[in-house]
Amino acid sequence: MPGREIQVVFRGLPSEAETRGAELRVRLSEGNTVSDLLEKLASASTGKASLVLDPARKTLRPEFLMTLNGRFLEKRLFPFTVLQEGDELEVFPVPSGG
Amino acid sequence: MGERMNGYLGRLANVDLSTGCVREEVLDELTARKWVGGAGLGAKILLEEIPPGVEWDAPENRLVFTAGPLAGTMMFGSGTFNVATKGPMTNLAVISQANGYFGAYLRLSGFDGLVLRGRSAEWVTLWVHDGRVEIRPASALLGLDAWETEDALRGELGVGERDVSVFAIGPAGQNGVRYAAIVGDRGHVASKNGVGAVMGSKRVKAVVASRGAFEVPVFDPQALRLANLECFEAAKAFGTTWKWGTGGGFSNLAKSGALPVKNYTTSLFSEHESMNGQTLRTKFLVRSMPCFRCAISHVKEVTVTEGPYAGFTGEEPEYEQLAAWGPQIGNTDLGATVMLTREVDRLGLDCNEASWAIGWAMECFEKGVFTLSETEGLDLSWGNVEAVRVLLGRISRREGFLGALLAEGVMRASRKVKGPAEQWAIYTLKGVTPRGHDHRGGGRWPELFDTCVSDTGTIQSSWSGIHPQFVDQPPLEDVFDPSEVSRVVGDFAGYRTFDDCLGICRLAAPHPKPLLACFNAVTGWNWTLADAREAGLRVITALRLFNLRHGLDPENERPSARYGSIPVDGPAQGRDIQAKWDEMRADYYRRMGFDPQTGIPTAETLKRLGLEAYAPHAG
Repeated sequence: MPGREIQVVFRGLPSEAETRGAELRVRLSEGNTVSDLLEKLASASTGKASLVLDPARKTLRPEFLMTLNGRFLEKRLFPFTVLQEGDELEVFPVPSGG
Repeated sequence: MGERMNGYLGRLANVDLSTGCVREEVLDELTARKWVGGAGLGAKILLEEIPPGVEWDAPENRLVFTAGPLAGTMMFGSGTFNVATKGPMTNLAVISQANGYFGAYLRLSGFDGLVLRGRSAEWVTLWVHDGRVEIRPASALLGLDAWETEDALRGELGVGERDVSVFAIGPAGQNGVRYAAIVGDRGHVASKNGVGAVMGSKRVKAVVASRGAFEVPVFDPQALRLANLECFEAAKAFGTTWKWGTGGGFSNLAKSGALPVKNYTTSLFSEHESMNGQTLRTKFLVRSMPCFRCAISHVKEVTVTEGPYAGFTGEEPEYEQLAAWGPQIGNTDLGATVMLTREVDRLGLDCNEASWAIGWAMECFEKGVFTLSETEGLDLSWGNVEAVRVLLGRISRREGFLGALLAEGVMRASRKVKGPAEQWAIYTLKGVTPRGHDHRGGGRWPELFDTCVSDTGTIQSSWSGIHPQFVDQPPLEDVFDPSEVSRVVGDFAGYRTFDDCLGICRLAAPHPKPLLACFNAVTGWNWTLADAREAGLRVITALRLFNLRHGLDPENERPSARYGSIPVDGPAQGRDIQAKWDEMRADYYRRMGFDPQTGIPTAETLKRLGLEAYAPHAG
């Protein structure tokens, strides 16, 4: 029997050229982690999203950072961070400005 | 003149300001291969010609203007030059870069570099043209700001805007403000570590170079053309500077906690979208002001179209200036950043240090350390841009209590005031001025660390982050891992310093590989990336030897209390870069071939780099 679904918000695609970035609302199974989310997005995404997500490694490209609910989340914690209903994730390029 | 050497004019102009004597010096191939040009030649001259004990304002100090082998070629953005000297903020070495035209025109006038020694009895300007250097009286220019000086000199010489490149000091440099800059070509600056104060101490108001008829010999012009296009494509792929200017990343920096907001008292700035490069270029009138042969053309002039400064025209604020005159002083009016940017350039100040000093003074005013008595009637509440404008003028003239205090820079000012306010100032303990970010957030730990351990008087390896993947090194995966931070800063060291030897704008050529291809096309030397890095490491190590001789204490290679503090809010809240500082510094030293405890380059390192003759204990 499938688990309950949750919905999270993912921002930051595709680039800093668009200051707000695209906003995706993604449905996940309860218990899914940040790594699960990125794998799902990387598998499904094409075009500009691949600027941010590495389709081979199915995670963020090295030159991007991520916040979860406004706080930085280290990449090593992605597999262990279980997402909750309404969580908000945002990615940023490291090379920004000056 | 020496034998023809691809990439070089083969000549340096050596000007003794005390005697008025100009001597030509040959730049031979052995020297060029060892030091390349630009930052490298500057480092060599500092190390060989300025003995310990010489103060920054002594006649024995040198002020060295150098271009590099790519300057003045057909490459996009090849007008860049370096200024090397012993600077007043640190009393140590500085290598500061500026873009525009001067680097190219210096070479087209027949020289790879201009070395100033001594001190002139009267104020002078130096005009480089037709293979010679003319020393001219400058008494009529005294008191003019940097832009007025440019205009006056063009009028005096009877030339048009692009016939000469003029870099001048404003009132700040004339009055010995420690962070005075050298400003030219309408808004370009060599700004770090008080290079303008040194120029003022030598009584040189401006240097001028003509668009001369000399040609830079190029080994393989067709290969250069192709490699230049590769650089251009890399520049377009790197961020959005080509489209939105350096302010294009402003909002991402805001959202990642890397904007300096009210002197680091918070990391939150919700008004960022009304202050970013996208808004600036969408709302204001914009006119291109490209540097020498630049196709990226990110430099603009803008006219404000709304708000209190509607109708005001000035150079477009770069990211640094948006940050300095926006969130750092609590200002949310974009037009005011244009006004203050122009003011700072005209006065000839370093915008970073000026904003750290003024932001600190505003915090002191908010917390009652300064009252209207100390500020002599100025209401220094956050966001009062007109008060900031007045204060900038006072600083440039060292006028009144606060003007004179802040003219010393925020480190010295805060130490003089003492008490809790001493803990609020943002600087490195060496006195180096950080650039305009909150380096505690946004993946900027490498830049904070780099700023503290650098030997160049400014950042050394970082620029818009550090990019180890550009040179096939493992990427920085965890930006808050201290061992990762020291790894990338140490292992990437050398690459950017090599770039700084070349005379090219980094925005036009951000990727080391196509840039190296350009270097090889110009010189014919067929260097590898490893050769390039080794040349960069030689320059850094030479500067470290100079700094150690001149009193560098490795214990000062750390941030001030506020600069290295733990953010109280925002995305990096609670992150502490200082917790493992000593381990990071020792790891960096080890990777650089320095003793992990003392920071002194080891004998093996000096031998490898051909610097044995300069060893700390060598004759």
